[in-house]
Amino acid sequence: MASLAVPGVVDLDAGSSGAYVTLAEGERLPGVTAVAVPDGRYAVTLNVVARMVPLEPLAEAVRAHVQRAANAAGLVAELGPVDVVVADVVAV
Amino acid sequence: MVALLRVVARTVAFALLLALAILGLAIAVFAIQGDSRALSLPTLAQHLHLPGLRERIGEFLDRLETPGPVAWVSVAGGAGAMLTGLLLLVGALAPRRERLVVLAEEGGATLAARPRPLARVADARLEQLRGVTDAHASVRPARRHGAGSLSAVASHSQRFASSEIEQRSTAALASLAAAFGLELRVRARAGTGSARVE
Repeated sequence: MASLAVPGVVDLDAGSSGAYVTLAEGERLPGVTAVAVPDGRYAVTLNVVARMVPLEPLAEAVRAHVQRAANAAGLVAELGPVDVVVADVVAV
Repeated sequence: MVALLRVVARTVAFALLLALAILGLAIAVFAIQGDSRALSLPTLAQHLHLPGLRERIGEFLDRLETPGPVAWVSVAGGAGAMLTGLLLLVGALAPRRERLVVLAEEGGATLAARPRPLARVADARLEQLRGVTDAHASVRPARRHGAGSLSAVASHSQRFASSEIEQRSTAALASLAAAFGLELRVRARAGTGSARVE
């Protein structure tokens, strides 16, 4: 959910069938999926709804926020690659 | 292959549901009266030749119980039915893999976008151009071999030539297509109806 604090990210998208969801400590996180990778870490995919902004800087900002959140939670060793998928764009 | 099975499964499902609906309607209509009157279930059974069908199936099942050529035909038929059922299940249940358009890959991390929002960005860029009254873009992600494509049709008012609109539209979308590695195809046409005027 750290990605919602990034300017340019409007919302997270769980997909039309609600498939892109992760349950964490009883909380439902739409638009977030975490998949275990062979080296023991977790690859995180964020499906974001973005404003019409340059996408590469947006993705870098999202990754930086996620990295900081993982640091704060003591999960930096478990955090693998962070994929950003632009699920939709809004004009506002 | 899975896409073909998906189409077949949907077609078969639709046909079966249609047949079921028609049969249900027929039963409802022929349940209005009783005995052997015109709109009764025994009359419906006669129309559908069900007594004769019962006899023929009964004879077939009797022959099936004895070993011989008929048994092998039934085994082959049963195996074919199982295979068909499995293929239809694959077509009905196989997950649709989402195809994304990749912008950048670095260190195992990917930045990608779904085709629809990219098309909407392209539409927004085109609609900002002077003379363009309507725009419709579509994005097809790359398949295994080859590049994906960004196709756009820009409608314009009568004051502008199609060639000029095509040129400006291509320039407006070139950077977007290049960033996502998409082949760009732009077509301009004189607008009709409300798309004739700015």
